[in-house]
Amino acid sequence: MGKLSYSDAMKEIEEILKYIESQEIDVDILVEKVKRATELIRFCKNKLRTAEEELQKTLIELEEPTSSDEEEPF
Amino acid sequence: MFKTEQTYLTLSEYLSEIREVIQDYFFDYQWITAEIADIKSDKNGRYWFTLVEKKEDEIIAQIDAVLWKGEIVNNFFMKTGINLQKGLKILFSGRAVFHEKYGLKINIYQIDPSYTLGELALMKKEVIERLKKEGLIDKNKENIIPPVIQRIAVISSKKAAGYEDFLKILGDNARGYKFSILFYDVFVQGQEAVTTIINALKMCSAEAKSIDSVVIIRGGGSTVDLQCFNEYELAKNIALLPIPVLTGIGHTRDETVADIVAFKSFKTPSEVAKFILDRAFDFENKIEQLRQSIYHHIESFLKVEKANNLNILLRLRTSIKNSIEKLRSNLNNTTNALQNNILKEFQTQREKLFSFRHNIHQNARIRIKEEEKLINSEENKIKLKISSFITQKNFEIKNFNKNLTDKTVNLLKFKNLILDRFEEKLHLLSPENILKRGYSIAYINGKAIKTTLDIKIGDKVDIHLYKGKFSSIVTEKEDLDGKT
Repeated sequence: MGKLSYSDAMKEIEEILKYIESQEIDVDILVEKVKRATELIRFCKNKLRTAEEELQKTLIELEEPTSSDEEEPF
Repeated sequence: MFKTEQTYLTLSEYLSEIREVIQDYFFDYQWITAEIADIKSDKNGRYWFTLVEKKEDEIIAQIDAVLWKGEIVNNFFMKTGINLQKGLKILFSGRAVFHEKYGLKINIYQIDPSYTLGELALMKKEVIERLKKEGLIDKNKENIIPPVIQRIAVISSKKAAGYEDFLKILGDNARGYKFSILFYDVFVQGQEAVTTIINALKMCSAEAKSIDSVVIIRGGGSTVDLQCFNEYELAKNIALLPIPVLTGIGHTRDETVADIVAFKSFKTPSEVAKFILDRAFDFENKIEQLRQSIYHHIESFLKVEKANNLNILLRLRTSIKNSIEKLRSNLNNTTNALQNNILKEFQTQREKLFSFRHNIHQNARIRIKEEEKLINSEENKIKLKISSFITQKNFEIKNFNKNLTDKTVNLLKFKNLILDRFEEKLHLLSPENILKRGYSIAYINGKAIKTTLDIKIGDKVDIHLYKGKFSSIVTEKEDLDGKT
């Protein structure tokens, strides 16, 4: 779920809602879908409130544009 | 050749004549248009210009000019929002002045701001037309702006007050949203603005995957001018950026070309920040609505399911109860019927049994009597047979006995006779009798000698006679085959 975008997450949640709105629901699938929707919602809410790690990463990348992906020990 | 009578003037005299001519001839002020090639101010509040006229980028006329009254410059800014600067076209009233030491200059007396505005508007219009023609005007708007703008590249100046406002609004949000800011420090006015901003845009383009939106902001400062944001090159770079660009340039008048080509433009940096916050807010609200919607649906679904289940359960329970009731009554009926039948059957069987027993008794009695009779007669028959058999056997035994005695006596007599004969024969054959008749028996080592093979010459041989015995030495022998 790490690279999931907000719009993808929203799309998936909307699809789940659409599925639930359609009257032909299988309870087992419903449980899975609701679980997934809950995860997505939690993911979005969490992501809205954490951007600093990503910023850090970007800054590091900018400082060392030629270095590899390995993290340097401080 | 130099002629002494020839009159001459000193340079100052000559130049002063020129000054007089110019002063006389160019006494009236004249409205003139020119492009500012350079502008400087000095400590006395004077402005020194280099004015040019260009034809197809070639300078075809050039002169220095001076403006003595600083308030004209301020007035120009008040009217246009633009500082007098290089590149601007102005309409001014002035006249040529000549000074013996400083040469020819134009004194600027007035500047008409409306001309410059018109010129700028025309230039801007031309830039817009060109962008339209090249299909760039809506190019940036074709980018997809993500529902949440979280990784923001800010192109601004650290000194710009608008940047502070922007950060404050994003940072202080009550919901606790976090934003990544990638800051590019640029000039937002003056001659280096265009190149530094374009460079920043190019860096953003290289990082396009990790940037949700590029924000160009300035504002706050009072001596601002927006000229650089109307430049074609800058507008083109904004248009072609593969990231949606938001502008908050901070202007009160017409929007700039940068605003027009941007994905979306705002009057102030604060408004950009609010827009970004609102999007995050809206996104979360929408997600929340979806969540509620999902839970609402599930709740009603479960309610219906539960009711259905309960209904089915109740029906099931009732039908089971009914079935059990039916089964029970059936069972009772069957049991009763069975009981009756069994009792009846018992009765009949018992009766049958009674009659059977009776019959058996009678039959048995009759049978026993018959058998008794039969046995009695058989017994008599057997007794009779046995007595006759015994009588006969007794007779047979008696006969046999007599026979046996007779035969035994005869046999004994005969055997005695044979024995007598044997005795006689035996007597005749005994060695004693034979020796008596003159025969003798030779022994070697206690064994009778039967052939000459038993002995060899020199052996000691015992000879038994009828009466007595002697020993002799073998001196000669003759075998049966004639050998000696």
